[in-house]
Amino acid sequence: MSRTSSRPWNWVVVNRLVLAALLTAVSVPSRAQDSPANDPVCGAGQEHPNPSTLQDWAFCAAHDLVNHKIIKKEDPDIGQFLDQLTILAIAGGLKPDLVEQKFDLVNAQQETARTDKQLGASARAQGSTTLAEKPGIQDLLGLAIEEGAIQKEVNGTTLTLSTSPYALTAIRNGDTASNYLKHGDDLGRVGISATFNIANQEDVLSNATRKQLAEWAVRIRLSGDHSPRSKGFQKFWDNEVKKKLEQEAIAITAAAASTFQDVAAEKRREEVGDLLSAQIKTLFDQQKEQLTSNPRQVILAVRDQILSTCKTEISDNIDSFHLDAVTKHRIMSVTMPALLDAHVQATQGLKELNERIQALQALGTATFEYANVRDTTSGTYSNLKFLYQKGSSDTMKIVFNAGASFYSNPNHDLNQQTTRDFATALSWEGLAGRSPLALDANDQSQVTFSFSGRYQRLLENRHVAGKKADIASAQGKLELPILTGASLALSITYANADELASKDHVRFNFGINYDTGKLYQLLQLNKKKAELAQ
Amino acid sequence: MQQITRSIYLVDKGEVVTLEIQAIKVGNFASFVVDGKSIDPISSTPLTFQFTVALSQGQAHHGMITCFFPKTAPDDAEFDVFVSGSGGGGKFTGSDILKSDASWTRAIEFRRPH
Repeated sequence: MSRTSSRPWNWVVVNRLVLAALLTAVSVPSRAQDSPANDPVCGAGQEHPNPSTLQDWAFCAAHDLVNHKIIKKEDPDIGQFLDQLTILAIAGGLKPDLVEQKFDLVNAQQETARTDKQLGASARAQGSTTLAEKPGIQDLLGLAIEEGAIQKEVNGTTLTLSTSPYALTAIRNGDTASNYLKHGDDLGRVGISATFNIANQEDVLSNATRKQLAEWAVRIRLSGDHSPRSKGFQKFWDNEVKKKLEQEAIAITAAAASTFQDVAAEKRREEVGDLLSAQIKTLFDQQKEQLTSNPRQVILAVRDQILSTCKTEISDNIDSFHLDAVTKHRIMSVTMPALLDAHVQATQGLKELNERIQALQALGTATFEYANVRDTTSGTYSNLKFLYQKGSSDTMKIVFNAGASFYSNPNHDLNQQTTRDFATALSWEGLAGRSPLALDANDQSQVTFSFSGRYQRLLENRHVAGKKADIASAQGKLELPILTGASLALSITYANADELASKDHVRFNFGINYDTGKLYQLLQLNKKKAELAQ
Repeated sequence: MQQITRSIYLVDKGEVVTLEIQAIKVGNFASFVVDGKSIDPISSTPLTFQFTVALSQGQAHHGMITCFFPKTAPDDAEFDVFVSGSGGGGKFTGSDILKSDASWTRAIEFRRPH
């Protein structure tokens, strides 16, 4: 709580401005939000430029009650927000001199750079590029858990099923932090996959037979776990960040404990909570249809009800709480400054968290892969590959592969020897934002692009007329999500030859990729909304 | 212990309250505070907190859970809360916090009836 001399000279002024903004919120007439983009987020865990006001908390409470009704079918429980609301409403009702002054919040906002809430899904790293393979082991997604921890991916004429031993533990224990801490860094290092040629397009899973098997592979991650679920990141949270983020909760609960220590004050608080609960329940019942057709309307109605009740029952009726002078003074001189200080600490904590996550993403991930390829033309061979991936920024990454292939039974008539080829590839991949063609508002699928280059030295092509041993290619690729769970993949490739002919060529490909896991999640969400409407 | 709502519980004096936070598809990025004091977890598998009720009749302990979701966490990541008391009554499902929520903070209170 101590103020250090390293803070800017105008720190106290800013504090007063923000404090005034916090307090004036209760007397500001409620207004409709201009747009969802302006919606506030609240509390220490979320990034927002200013401490949460009563108006902010009223909106956040309304938003989350509606959100949980839609997603989890939970009845509204305003008790989850009652302490935040009552303490700020009491502070507003005490009407200190600061409240009556006109302050410009913009001055305070200039002190902190705004970082809006991240609502979007983290984009799924789209399927491997043609020329360079990503080293990441498929994680648990959508259908993986639902269908026995198997990840299914259909890409053109092949079906790939992949899993990891960690996924099998998650079937029994759930994909929880506890399970990840126990098994994530050992069993999560290993990935297994099998690719099948698709003969039956009607039922792609029916192609998962030995006869249709085109390739199977085992991957082992060589580098450490650089995810935010790793033990290292957990330790960073425990030691460096947790204390900063919980200061707001400490300030609010300390204020609630002391303010409502008196039984009469506590009884009055509970009465207000009961009243709010009944009012919100009535609103939910009255606007049942709007919960699915126009949830924003319900959110705004609940918010306005909360603000109205806080004003009439708390801010304008402070005496009903029978607070003594010491308690009133403590709220204004201890709690409110503590909330400001807590906001500063939380902002710092979130900054450190995000910097650490970025630093982790920038660390490279190295993976070793063994693949057994059943090629109908040249026969079965083994491929040993080193894969490396490194994030260059939030939205960019570099992928590097190098490997060699070996025949177990080389066919000398086909000029084969034990060593089949050496190959290396380099790819630069990026995200270009949410797809403009995504129709479902819940679908945050990202447009992805990549530029790749590959070189292969195919030994059996040496000294063979019409074939080239040194094969090089370059590719540009764009994947554009067009419908829920489906995306249009476009690529243009130049190659000086291929494995079968020495003729150089330019190839333009397009296709539709289906992400069944994403589709499943969105269907589930829409199903819940439909059930709610009934 | 009796559950009134997901966020309100009736408790007895001296009862030991246990609060578990199960992090799903996200790390154990949660903390628990009661009456202005941070509670240290007694376990991380799952994240578990305990405190003893010290209330007169008609008073309440005011708790608060603060969570965090990294941007890299999947959209369906969540924290589930479970509450139980040494006085019996069972293990109750408390608040849950979703990544899509506007606030990742939840109040929870433990009342000693009149």
